[in-house]
Amino acid sequence: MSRSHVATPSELSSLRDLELVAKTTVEGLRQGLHRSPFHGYSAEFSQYRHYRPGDDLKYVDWKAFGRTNRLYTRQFRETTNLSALFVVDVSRSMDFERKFALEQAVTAVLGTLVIDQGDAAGIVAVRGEHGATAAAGKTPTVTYLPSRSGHHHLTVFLSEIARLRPGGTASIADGLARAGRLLKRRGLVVAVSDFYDDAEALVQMRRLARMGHDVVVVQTLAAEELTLAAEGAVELVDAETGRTLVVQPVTAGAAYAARVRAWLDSFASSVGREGFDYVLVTTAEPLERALRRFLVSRRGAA
Amino acid sequence: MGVTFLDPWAWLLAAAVALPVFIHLLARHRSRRRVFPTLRFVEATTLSAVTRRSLQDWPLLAVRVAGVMTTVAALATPIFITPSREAAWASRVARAIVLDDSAAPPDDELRSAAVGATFARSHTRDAVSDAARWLAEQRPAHREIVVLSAFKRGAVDAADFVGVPPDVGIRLVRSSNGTAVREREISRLQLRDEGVVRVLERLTLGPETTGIREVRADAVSPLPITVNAAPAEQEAADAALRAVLRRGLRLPPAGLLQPIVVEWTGDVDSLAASLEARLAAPLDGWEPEPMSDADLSALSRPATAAAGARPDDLGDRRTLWALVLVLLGLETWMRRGGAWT
Repeated sequence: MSRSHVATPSELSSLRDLELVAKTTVEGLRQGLHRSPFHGYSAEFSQYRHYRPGDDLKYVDWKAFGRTNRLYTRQFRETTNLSALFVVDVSRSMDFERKFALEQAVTAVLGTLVIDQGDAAGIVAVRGEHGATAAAGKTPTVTYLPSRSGHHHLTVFLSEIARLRPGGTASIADGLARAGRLLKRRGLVVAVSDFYDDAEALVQMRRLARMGHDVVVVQTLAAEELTLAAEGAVELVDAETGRTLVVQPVTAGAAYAARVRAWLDSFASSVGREGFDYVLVTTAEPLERALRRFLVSRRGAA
Repeated sequence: MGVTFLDPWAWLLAAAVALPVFIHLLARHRSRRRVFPTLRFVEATTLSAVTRRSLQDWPLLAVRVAGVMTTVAALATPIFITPSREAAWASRVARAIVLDDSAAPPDDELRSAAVGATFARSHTRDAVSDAARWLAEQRPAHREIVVLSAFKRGAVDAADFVGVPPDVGIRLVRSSNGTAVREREISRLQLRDEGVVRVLERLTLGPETTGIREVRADAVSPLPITVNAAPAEQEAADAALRAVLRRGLRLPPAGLLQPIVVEWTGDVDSLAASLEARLAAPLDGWEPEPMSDADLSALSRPATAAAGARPDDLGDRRTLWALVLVLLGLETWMRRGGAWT
């Protein structure tokens, strides 16, 4: 299936009935559907506590006082909107078959859901050499769209995704590190990548989690890289290192598929242990089905 | 059941069976480059190009080799030799009938042959050569030359059949020199009761029978034969002459023109031999003696299956072409990993 645009209408329409609900509390600026980590005096009742001198008397529960002859102050949980930042992997390893198109579609679909429900979504993508810094004289190209909401921003968001092109060796870890520096408030960080640099990415995701961010891991892979399906000998060229290896898929295919499967299982376990939500999306499976399964499970967990 | 091929040269193309292997070996030198996201999961032990010298898909190679061999076999125009076909070929005979006289060939000789022709030349050897050339152009299982002749002594000999291929049978059939009935007149001198007579007989030579009929008997007087003997033996000599005449003394066709005198040698047999020697003369119009059956058997031989005989194409190649199509389909199916889509 060719993807002439970022997200197909069917992919969007099939998910509009779902809400992307943050599992953990996030902080935001506006009232919304998501629970705030701050306990204030907003609309949603949270708990009672004993009255302390100085509390606003309008929050004293007089009915409870009548029943128990004790003063209780009602506390409310402040609700706010979600601020999601999509960290998109634009390394050369993503430029394989329909993998990058799939990554764009996933980002577009989830971003559209976030913005449509009144929350804010943004993008950060780092393109360049892996680990490059300005100090080293190799300034990476950073695409950063701050998280905002609104229909106008959705248009900007989608066009920004469409402009992304894979290239360079900067990994998702570089993007996550950059996101950690850019995010000022706790929010949702959605990492979209193939996660071939899983070790570095996990380090950065742990760091973001410690900062209070809700991390969602979306692993996008092409079906063609799950197996070495090819006829005859193939000279494989590593997209990022340029290293070449001549292989016979007929003989090496089974071991390759087993290794990939084991690595995927191991990565999913690692991500789960960290408490991150994880979804594997491949070009072999309809995008709608994978995302629906993910969103339903996430809402249930929330 | 066996198989033979009308175009066995096509088996030279069997060398094409090496094509699948060549393709495999060439392919390892022309591996396609493919950019891959990462090589971290590709096992190093499988990266040696040497591993590709071994064949990974034996069933596929077997199907391809079978396809090539079946194609070559089809091009070689196969003929499956079944018992029924062998019987049919064995019953086929191409028969060349050589006539050395005016005799017509027996109908059954021509009728029993799949193909037949007659050859008549002034010399039997030329007719046999013509027959051999004609048979060489035929495609039977058995070929034979039938020589129809009276086989008078010296009519045929082994030299006449030198140019006939060894697989061609030779059969010599004695004929009665045609259907004409020939008559000859012979005469003899014989002592009968009425005296010595000259008997004229008519000899009728038919295809199957010989008849002798006395035409007339003329008295001979005086006796034109005299036996000289000593006076004491003259009577015995005359008696011996009468005994010889009683048995009959063959005369030349023209008859006894002049009186003859013989010496008495003492016995009847020697007198008879002496007289026959004196009267002996070429028998004008008499046939030479026929060849014996043993002579004819020595020149005959049975027909054998011709080594170079080419049976007709019976279309068996169509079966192999159908098999080639099946193998092609199977090869395509196997290349696609057991799926058509």
